[in-house]
Amino acid sequence: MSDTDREIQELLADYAEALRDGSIPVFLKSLTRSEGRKISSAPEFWDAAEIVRYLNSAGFADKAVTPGVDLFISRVDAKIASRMKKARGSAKTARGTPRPAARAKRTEKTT
Amino acid sequence: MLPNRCLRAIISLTYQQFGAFFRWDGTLVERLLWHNKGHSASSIGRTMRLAMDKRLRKALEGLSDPDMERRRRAMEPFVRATFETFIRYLYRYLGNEVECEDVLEDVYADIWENPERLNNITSERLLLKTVYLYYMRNRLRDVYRRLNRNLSLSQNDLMNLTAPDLGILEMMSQQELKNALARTLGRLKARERRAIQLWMDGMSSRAIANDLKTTVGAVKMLKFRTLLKLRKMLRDYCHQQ
Repeated sequence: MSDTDREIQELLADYAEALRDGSIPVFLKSLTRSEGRKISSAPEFWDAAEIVRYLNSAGFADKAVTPGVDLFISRVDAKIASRMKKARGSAKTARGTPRPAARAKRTEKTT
Repeated sequence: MLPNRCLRAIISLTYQQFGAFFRWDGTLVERLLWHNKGHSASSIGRTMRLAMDKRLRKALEGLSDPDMERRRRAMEPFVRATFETFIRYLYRYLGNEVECEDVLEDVYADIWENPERLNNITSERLLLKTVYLYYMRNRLRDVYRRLNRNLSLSQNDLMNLTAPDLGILEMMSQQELKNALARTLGRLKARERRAIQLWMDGMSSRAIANDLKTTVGAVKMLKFRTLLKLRKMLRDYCHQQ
């Protein structure tokens, strides 16, 4: 990906390799302004990129090492728990529950 | 669906009646019978696809519960039933296991938070389409949005490259896609097929050029042309199906 002004077929080959190797951000960063314009104005690039995605899916998705689903479920559960906590927190503040600082002031007064 | 015997009888009767208007070449019957057979096969396939996995159906029912805690418990069977399909689908766009997991984690949390879109799902294909359009796509965009300030691509092009609209081929299941690819790859020229196969084996353009005894530039051009050819063949295959 070191060439400065790549042709459309070279850009496609680099995109395909980046997708295969999981390094799309590197490919995106490597694009120059003129290459970006070339991509925009080349419908063949988009057509071929579509097929590259299918080939990537058919050829490499099976080889990808996926984690145990149990471990993943616990990750999802933790994420949901944190979102629940956030939702409850925002609901409480919306209802006007006294904040810790206000509560402290009240206890000072009573004493 | 008419049995083939009936169809054959109808065709021959029609031919006797309107024989003068038809140019009989003998292949008409076979072609129609073939179509009849094709239709019955596809309708069976459709029925099978529509019949959703019982486990998945139950999991989806749990997601429609208004209680957050119960919905949270319902997520486990849902994740179990869909994890493999979703992660392979995401792999199409990211090509990276770690990012796939991160995105999918957010996708499941989004589904838990707003499961309304999944209320009237009747088939696995519809589920995949809905999840892609309403949950995955937003997350895929988020992955690359932060990069966009330093890129030479327009926002639109970036979106099309990372989270494109759905085409006819996009909604194919993994198995359907493999079958279609196997069929179309078999119809390519030997050299074209070799280039694609080597690339799918993980070889670089230089290594493919060495194997094909040509230059790197020629390999890139060959791959580009072959991919366009493959696309056309795949589209034709889909329309036939």
